[in-house]
Amino acid sequence: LVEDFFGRSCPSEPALFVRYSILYRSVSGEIMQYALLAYGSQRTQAGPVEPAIASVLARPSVTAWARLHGEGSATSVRNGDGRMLLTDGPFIETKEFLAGIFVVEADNLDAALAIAQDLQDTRTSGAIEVRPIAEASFRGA
Amino acid sequence: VALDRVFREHWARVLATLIGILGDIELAEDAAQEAFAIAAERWPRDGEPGNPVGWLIATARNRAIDHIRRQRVLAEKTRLLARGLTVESEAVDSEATVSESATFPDERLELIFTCCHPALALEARVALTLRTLGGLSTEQIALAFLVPAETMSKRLTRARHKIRDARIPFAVPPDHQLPDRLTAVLAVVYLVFNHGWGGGRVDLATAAIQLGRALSELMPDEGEVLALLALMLLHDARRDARIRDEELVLLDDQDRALWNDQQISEGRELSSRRSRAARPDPMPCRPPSPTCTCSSHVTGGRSRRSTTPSRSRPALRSSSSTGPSPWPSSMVPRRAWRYSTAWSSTTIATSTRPAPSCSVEPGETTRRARHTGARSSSPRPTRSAGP
Repeated sequence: LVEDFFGRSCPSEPALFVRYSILYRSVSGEIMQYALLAYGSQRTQAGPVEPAIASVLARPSVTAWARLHGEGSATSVRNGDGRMLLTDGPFIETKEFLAGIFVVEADNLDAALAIAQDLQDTRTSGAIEVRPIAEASFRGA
Repeated sequence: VALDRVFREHWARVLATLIGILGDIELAEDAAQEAFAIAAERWPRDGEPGNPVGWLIATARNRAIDHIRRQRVLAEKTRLLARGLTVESEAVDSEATVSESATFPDERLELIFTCCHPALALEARVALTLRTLGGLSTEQIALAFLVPAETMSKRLTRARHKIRDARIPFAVPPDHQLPDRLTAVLAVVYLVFNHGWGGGRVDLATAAIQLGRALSELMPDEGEVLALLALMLLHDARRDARIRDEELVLLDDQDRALWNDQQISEGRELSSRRSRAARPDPMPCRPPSPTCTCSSHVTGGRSRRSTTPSRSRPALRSSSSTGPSPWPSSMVPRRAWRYSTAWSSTTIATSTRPAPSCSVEPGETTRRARHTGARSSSPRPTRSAGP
């Protein structure tokens, strides 16, 4: 019996598994980034972040976050007849709106969902949409 | 004909391992299909290799590596190629040189947990499970769910892409997640069974039983798995007796000579094995359970005359809905647990779930599955099915 990359024992030719381990690693090695989009209908509270949320935000896996002002403060930019058209309000007018954004690092979707769950636990309503990030760049602070 | 058998027996096993190696469902499916096509051409001529699974996997892997080499566009895959090339250069013409003793890890369990991940829509889970583990073609699945093949093809592609892009892990969930995830898996299997059994699609019922068998092979100690397989076998045993002149015949009126003895005894054996299973669990063979219902009738004797007036009703109902009730989850109240609080299999075992009333024909309930979502971090190393 030999152990493969994940520590499972398999009856096999060790050599084969050494080769597969390399492949496995190339598949699993990279850390993913996910955007957690928090939707809700509550107005963003001014003042310090609640301790429950702050403890999640302090985790190393949370690489960026933003609290957004309410939808009343939004301006949407569109193109129309070669001119910029401005609309007062969010792009999609809904009862619930985007209230905050978090960027997290995680090995896979399950790990990202776990962070989202912790964040959602601090909220009384709304939902958090978890989206894998295709590409991102963060500069400044 | 022999290749039909080979396909049925080995497809899921070969595909699962390939996904583990390649990390991409689409690529693995294409490669596996190619390997089976090559086998169809060569095996009748050269004879079946001693290790057909190993042969198929190695052949498909090399095809996939060829394919990746041709598709240098994606940087991620090109990186994989760099590794793959070493593999290939070491094993020249692997089709001929696959070692007879080479065994590959069986990763069907990883695959089924990926396909039944709660982050996928229920219809997608069912379709994907039928495709990857059941080996059904897109057309067959489309036919089963009464949608155009193109729609089903899109649904499958979307699911594969979500698994890849969102990196749904290719792994068996850690213990603290297992009960919920297993419930989701069993719900899919049972949904497939119901669709086949209630809708009169024998092939789907058979596919579900095969999935149940595979699961019980892979997780022989999970009581819920054994119970589901027992339930399906005991229901399926009465298949031939269930419909007469296109009318549904209720249990009491069925001609017991048409019951499948072998399935009944297997189902009863499984359910007693389940009762002996070490971990006490609340699913699902509590009275009134199918086992009790069925075995009581069986022990009552096949020749028992029906004492109730004949009742029957139209057998064919609309099967255009996604399908009838997958009981395992619909019967399970959404548990309000927090993964952060310590909870173990003991708390699961003691949590109360109402026993499903399985004397009802499975096709007759209509509640839809509701799954609890993923709720916790995974401390174990997991592999992604995405690049």
